[in-house]
Amino acid sequence: MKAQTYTDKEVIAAIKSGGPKRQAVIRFLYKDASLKGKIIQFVSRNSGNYQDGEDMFHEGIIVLDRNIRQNKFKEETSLQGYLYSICRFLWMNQIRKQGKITLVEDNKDMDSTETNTPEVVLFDNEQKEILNSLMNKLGERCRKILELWKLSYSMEEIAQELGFSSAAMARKNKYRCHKSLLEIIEKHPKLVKTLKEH
Amino acid sequence: MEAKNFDKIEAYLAGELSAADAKAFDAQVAADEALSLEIDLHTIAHDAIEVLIEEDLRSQLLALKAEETTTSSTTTETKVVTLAPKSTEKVVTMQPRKRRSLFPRLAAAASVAILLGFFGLQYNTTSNSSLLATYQTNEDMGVSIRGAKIATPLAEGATAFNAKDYTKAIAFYQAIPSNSERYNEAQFYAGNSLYKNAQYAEAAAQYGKVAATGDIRYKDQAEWYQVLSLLANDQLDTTFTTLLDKIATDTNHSYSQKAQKLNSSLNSTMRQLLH
Repeated sequence: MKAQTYTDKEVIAAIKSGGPKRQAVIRFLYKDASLKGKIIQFVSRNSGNYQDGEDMFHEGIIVLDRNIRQNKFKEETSLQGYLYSICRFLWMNQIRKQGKITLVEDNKDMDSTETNTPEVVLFDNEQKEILNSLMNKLGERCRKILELWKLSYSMEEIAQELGFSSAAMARKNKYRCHKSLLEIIEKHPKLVKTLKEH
Repeated sequence: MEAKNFDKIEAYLAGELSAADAKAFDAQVAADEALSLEIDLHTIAHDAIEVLIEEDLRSQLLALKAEETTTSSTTTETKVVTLAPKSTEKVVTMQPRKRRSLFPRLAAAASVAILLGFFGLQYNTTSNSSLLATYQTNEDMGVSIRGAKIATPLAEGATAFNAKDYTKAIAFYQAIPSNSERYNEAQFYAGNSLYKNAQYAEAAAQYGKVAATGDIRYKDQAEWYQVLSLLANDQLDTTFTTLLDKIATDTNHSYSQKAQKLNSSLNSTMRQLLH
């Protein structure tokens, strides 16, 4: 069976709409062997190995997904070029931290606009630890509601997914969970201070 | 926290206010410290949800990778099956009388090959090291430098860690005095360095110490890493099972779902048969 292909616009629309469509295009992006190969090649020629290249490809998809959802991707380049530039940035950032600064560009089919630095916001490990620990003070159901809400699921879809009787009930629960999370954060001023220091 | 502020802040952060309203709100925030703090809280809440989404997506990508690996292994096994009948045909052509007796034997051989391949694959995918590869992500056991623009007390350890000089990193983190405000952090990173240095038993003990401090920044991670360290050390003893059960049954634990999955992988019939 031939795998379904998507245009850039379809990928963007699917990621913004969330749900199964988002899952399908994530799979589609992941299966792009040509792009994955270019990223692995770039990383391998710049102090990394195959595994590092695969890791960068994964992390690049994660940043791409977030940037599309947050309207940070301006559609000035192809999606493939944008993902390549994100992965390139991530790897450069990593090797810079390790004190390795050689750079070999070898993907001539990626033009200069596609290797410009994209807007990439990274949470470091400490930030992730703190944010995770705060989030985990909520129950699993609350975490799921907030996750689906942030992924642009409608209240009807959240109700259906989590078994609420109506969209209104889903909305009520989302509000309650969101407020609980804010209260949890407010109770940990030291952690808030640490996060703001980053 | 008033509902009115709640909705307005959310609209502000989502960029849904008109330009004029956003400008007026900016001025209000600048003059009101409490409101400014509320915005910080909302921003952190959004970041926390975002990290959850990231983790879910990371797991999905690892699942896709595992799917690819499985598919490629299955393809290799298929080759064994298709090759057997070909060799049968060749023999049959040269020795027609043996056709009846030889085919069942070769078919049986092919079946055995399939079974051996299948169980071989299952053995590999249910081994401790394979389970570890599934549950330990690239993001795990790292270190970070807080406040990148200034020299921080733990920067030297992070530099050694990133240069993969784990022995130096371990010595550095373990030398941080217990009265330092970064002590728990250093202890946690000592655990990560021990793990990366393949000193799994020591890493497990170190994570146990960190978890016992109850510091919410590290407790859940330290407990889960203790499980992974014990698994890496093939030490599936009472400490391991008790801790894994505790994490799996605590739905508020950051690693509850992963622990449940690991538990069911460990208890799978296939694993019980093969290990």
